[in-house]
Amino acid sequence: MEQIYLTVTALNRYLKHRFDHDENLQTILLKAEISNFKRHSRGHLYLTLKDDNSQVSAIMFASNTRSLNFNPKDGDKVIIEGNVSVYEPYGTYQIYINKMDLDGVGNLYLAYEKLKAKLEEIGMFKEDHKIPIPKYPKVIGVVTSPTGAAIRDIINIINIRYPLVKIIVYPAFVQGVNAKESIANQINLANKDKLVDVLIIGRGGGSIEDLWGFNEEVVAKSIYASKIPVISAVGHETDFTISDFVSDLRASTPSHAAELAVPSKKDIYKLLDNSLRRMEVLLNQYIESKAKHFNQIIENNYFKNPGKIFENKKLSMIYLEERLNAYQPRKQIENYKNTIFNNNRRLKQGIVSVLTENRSKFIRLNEKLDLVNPLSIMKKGYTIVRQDDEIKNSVKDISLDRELIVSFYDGELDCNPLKKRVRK
Amino acid sequence: MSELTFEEKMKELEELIKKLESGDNSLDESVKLYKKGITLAKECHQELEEAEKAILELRTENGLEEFNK
Repeated sequence: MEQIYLTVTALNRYLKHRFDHDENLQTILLKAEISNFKRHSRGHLYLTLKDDNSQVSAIMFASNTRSLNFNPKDGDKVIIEGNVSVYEPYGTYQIYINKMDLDGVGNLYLAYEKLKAKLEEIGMFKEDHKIPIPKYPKVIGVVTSPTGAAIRDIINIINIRYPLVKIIVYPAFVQGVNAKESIANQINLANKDKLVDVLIIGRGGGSIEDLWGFNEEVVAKSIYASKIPVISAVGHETDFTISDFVSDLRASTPSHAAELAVPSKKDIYKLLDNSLRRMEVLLNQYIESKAKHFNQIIENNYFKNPGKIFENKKLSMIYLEERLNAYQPRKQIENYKNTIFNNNRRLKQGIVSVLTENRSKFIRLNEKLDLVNPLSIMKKGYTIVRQDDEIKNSVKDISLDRELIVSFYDGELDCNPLKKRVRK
Repeated sequence: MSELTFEEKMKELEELIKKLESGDNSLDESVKLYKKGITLAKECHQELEEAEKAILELRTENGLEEFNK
């Protein structure tokens, strides 16, 4: 009998057929850790899923990655929904991932971050929405488990610090599936009751899952809507919940919340003591200052010697008068007049001296002039001879045939020349 | 004892001291403020001293019930 040999292709096709018709492999839920994570350029994700002993390859098509709410990376612990099938060309089987989420705590943390970002975005953490906590509350509401550690701690602290108050417990489930509705309802109820001045909501420490009720949106919304100031006190110092951010004040623990909600007896005693001392000091100061003022009035010089008032006034008046005089216009005009008078006098003196000088100069010149005056010379016996209306000063110029005129200082004489003798 | 709550008394005490600090009062007024202040402070002190434990109540569907812890 001849043996039948299968081709590789036929084998792989057969195996694929078997895989695809196994109901158990159509929808599988898998818990694993990611390794060899690669993102294909078309958006498909290739990865290996493993646990401590085994591994299997997986693919998530780009069309399914849109539902991802985290960025997968090597080492992430994930929960997966998908199916198993064979990839014929390579003869390998792999997981085709439809949905992938971070596992457990990782997933809760993610939800927390997402809600926190969302509520912050819509302004639910804003400082200006926060209501101040009253200084001396009369009634304190506590939304918590009536049997838990939190209420016990709160009562203890309040009894020590400020036992004047009434505490109303609004019982709530603080863990489990009912927690969120329970907490939110009790916050709303306290607001309807309007019996308390401040509301503490919280619980003692626990796992992140235990505290989860305080990370729910419905709780955040009832805190935000509360007209009563809310102090959030969930778990330990290191636990931060959405409630902490929305509430008007965050306490690190329930005990701390009680400390924030009421003043301490010790501080009030101190404050009262200080007030008493302060009032005494103030009253003493007041009386002393009044007494001092009274003494000042009695001892005042004016009181003792009223005439002093006028003396001072007189002095200041004299001073004013002097200043006024200095600035009087009449005085100024007089000053100007004096200046003008002085200038005038100096001007006149100047002119007179110029005139006198000129006159004596004139007299001297006149005398000089007299010396050269022909008349005064002629008086001494000199005469002037003219012929043909010309003064002749040489005998040579005289013609014998015409008349001469001889001028004396007191008259003239017409003559006829007879003979001329020229001196050599 | 006056009918004021603890909070109201503390507030009044505070305001009264502010008034004394301002010094705008007559001697008569100042003495009156001082006397009132002492009374208030004493009352508050006494009230705190006398209080032993906070009153506890539990909110149930029927209203408020005594709550023992």
